Amino acid sequence: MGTPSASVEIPFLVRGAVIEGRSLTRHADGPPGRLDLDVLVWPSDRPAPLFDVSTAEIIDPLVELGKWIRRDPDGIVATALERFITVCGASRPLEQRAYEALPSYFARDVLEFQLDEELGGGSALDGWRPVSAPGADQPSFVRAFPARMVHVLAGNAPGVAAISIARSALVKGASLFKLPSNDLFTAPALLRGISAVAPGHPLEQSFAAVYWRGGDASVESVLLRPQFFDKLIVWGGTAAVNGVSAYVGPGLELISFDPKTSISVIGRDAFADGADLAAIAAAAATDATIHNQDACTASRFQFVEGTVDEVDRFCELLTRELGVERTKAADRSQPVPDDLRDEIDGLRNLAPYYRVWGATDGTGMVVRSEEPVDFYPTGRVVNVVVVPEVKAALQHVNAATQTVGVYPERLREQLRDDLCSVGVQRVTALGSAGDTRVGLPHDGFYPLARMVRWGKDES
Amino acid sequence: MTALDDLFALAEQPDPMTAAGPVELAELQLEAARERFTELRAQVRILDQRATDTGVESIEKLDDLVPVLFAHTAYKSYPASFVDKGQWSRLTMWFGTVSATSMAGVEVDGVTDVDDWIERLEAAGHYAFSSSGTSGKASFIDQTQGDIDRIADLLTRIWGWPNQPPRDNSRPLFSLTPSAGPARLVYAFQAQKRYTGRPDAIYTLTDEPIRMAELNRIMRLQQAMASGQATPGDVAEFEAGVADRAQDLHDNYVRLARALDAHRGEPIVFHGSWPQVWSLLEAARQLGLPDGGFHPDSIYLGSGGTKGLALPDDYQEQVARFFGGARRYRGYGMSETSTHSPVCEAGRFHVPPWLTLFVLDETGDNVRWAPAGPVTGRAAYWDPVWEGHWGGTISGDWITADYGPCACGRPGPTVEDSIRRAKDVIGIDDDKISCAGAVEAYVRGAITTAVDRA
Repeated sequence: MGTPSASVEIPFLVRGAVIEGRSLTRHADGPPGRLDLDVLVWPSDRPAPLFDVSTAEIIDPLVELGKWIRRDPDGIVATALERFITVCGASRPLEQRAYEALPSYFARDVLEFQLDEELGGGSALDGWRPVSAPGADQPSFVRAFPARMVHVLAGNAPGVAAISIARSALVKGASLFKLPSNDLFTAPALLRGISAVAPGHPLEQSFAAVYWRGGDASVESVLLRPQFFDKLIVWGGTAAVNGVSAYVGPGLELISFDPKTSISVIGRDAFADGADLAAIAAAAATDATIHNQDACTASRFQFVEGTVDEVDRFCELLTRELGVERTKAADRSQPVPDDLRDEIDGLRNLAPYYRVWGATDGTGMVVRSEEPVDFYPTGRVVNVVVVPEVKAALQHVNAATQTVGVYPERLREQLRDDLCSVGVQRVTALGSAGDTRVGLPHDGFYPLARMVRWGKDES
Repeated sequence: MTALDDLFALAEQPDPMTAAGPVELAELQLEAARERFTELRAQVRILDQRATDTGVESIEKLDDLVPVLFAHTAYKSYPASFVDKGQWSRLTMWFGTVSATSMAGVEVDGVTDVDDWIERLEAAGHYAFSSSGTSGKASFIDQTQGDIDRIADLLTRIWGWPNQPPRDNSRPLFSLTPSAGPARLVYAFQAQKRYTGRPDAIYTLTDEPIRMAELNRIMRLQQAMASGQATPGDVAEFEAGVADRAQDLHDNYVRLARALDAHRGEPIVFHGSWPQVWSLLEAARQLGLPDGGFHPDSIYLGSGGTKGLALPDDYQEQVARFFGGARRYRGYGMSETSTHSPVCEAGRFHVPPWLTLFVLDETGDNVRWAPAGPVTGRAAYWDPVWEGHWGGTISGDWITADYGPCACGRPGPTVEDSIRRAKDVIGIDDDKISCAGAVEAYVRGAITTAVDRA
């Protein structure tokens, strides 16, 4: 999926109004962008639209939004899903299930949990919280203030749009979403839901979602200034992070959900008598195929403790399981990209040091080795690395390692200090890497705490 | 191998580009492809595997070759740990899968680094050439002695086209490369030394051979610096090394500039990559040498890109003023192809008749072709010349070609002078890193570019 062609109509959503747009980027064969950049910014000389609205009054319409998505009374969500599939090339069964999960981001308990865990409750935003500082006679007061944000969204999972809307609303922010070319429709559809369930609510005035081609200086250089925005939130891709980071400076803070790699660690218990190796392989495949392995949580390297023969048995089972349709995976991905195929072919004839299972047709491949492979496994390719003991996996972990799925359970507690000390951000049970909980740290930080500005009245 | 012999015979014609008619040429190319495919499928493991995977059992038409073309990646698909850990027998095992000849005679006992390994390959008749990309991982492609002889012959029959210098060892030869090492640029120099250069007037940048181990070390450190894994001490040591090498090289450039000045009145043959040509120009200016005055039969070639070096916008014009009187030669090629495509009077690159040019779509799976008129896409080549490896290659270049007649009056196919990197056009991910030291690494050895690339 590249840049949308000039002929694709994308329903931009700007402060509650639907604008059938194309792109803010001028196309050689199409009309220039026709959207006024002035409507995409919030003036710095007045409070954000949600500033005076209590968090309770924000959560209520968000909960209604969740119900609206499920009901989809006007077919807006269904249309967005259809266009997501036909225009952006998304996988139908996979994204159908992903859309069914969208309301869960707007459940009341989930929203309140985020505020409680990340900001100590909505009171931090709703008023001045008194604080007694050591040595001070009088109390000081602190309050979290809304920020104006640009979100460079990732398009590999529609949940990114939902969670970004929820987070921005919870901190009363004003947010411009830069839509990704691989998901042009989810965010605008959800924002139309806000207008449907709470017409006239300041929430409506707090969002805009438009597309321009990433890196287009005629848009980014104009908008990405501290005069217009306080926070720049970037999801994923190295190119996306590098593309906009040039605009970061005093007054415009970068909040980056960095490009990440996830791995699995499987202890020798997997080969013990009575262990269900097929079930373990299924759990490993579940983690490897999250969003067809497009997600940062998807496992790409699996460090398995055992003999080569044992590990090869696991690899065979894993290869079979990679082609199984699951909640977060279709039954196959796009065929393995040509450059990756070249890399894998180079390893095929290196037995006994390397062994390769599976086909390049997108149903899954496994490469078994003594060292992690030099390439980045994608397209439903898993590199299984034989390790003499699970701790050997630690030397291959770094700041880019996000999730480590661990088997058996008892190893999680044993390994988590070591893993997180060297850069890992999340440890979970093998098979659960795709089940993320909002309200806990994300990529090593609490997002809501980064999305506000703190004011203080100090005594 | 009759069809192959007939193709090679075209090179011996006064103008190889006009030596064959279009129908006859297509038949020859197809027949040569059949011969080579049958012969090499039995010898090259990765070719046999790819042919099996893609169901290519025979070559009925030239387009049947497309599924069995390989990208550069195939020739660096060995695990880097084989080199890092000195597992030379494993690296040899891998090399055997991309090579057409047996590794049986390769002795790796006591090998200490990758240059040692390359020497052991040579001792067994495998003349590997290598290039170290921006990822820091070198590719290795096998050549036989026959390949070396053949490409030397073809290169000197094409170089300078349409007015090639005579192959009688009469020309002062300047080649801004090391004189030895496993790189195409060096093999190009050696070809010109063999056929073109006057034995008492052959000048190279250095006689210190290209050391792949050192190149790899530099590339790895650049990568480590980029990713923040290098220690401050590593960085300081690297930068000190860069300064030392710059001084060494400066002395070499001064020596070359003086030699160039001394041969100004003779018909010279000169070849260098742009950053090196620029360094030479600076040395010439420091010596106070004047512009111009070169012999009218002199030919100079500046090749490659600028390697991220900040050269002035008009560096090519400045170099042209310096070489005033000489003819500028240009060509387009890549290290994987046996021969480059030289430029004609109309400014288009002519693909030599023994090469088959394919223009592929974004996926690399489908051929774009028209009998005449512009066709744009990814360049790929079927190159029947090689006997040491399989000569089907997909390049990283995005080109506009024309299979019809050229404005210069000769037949096509020709490539327009608008070559871009495919990844810049279709957004392929790249492992490119940028570092001010990169040019120094380049000077130590040819890195990625071909013999001649305008």
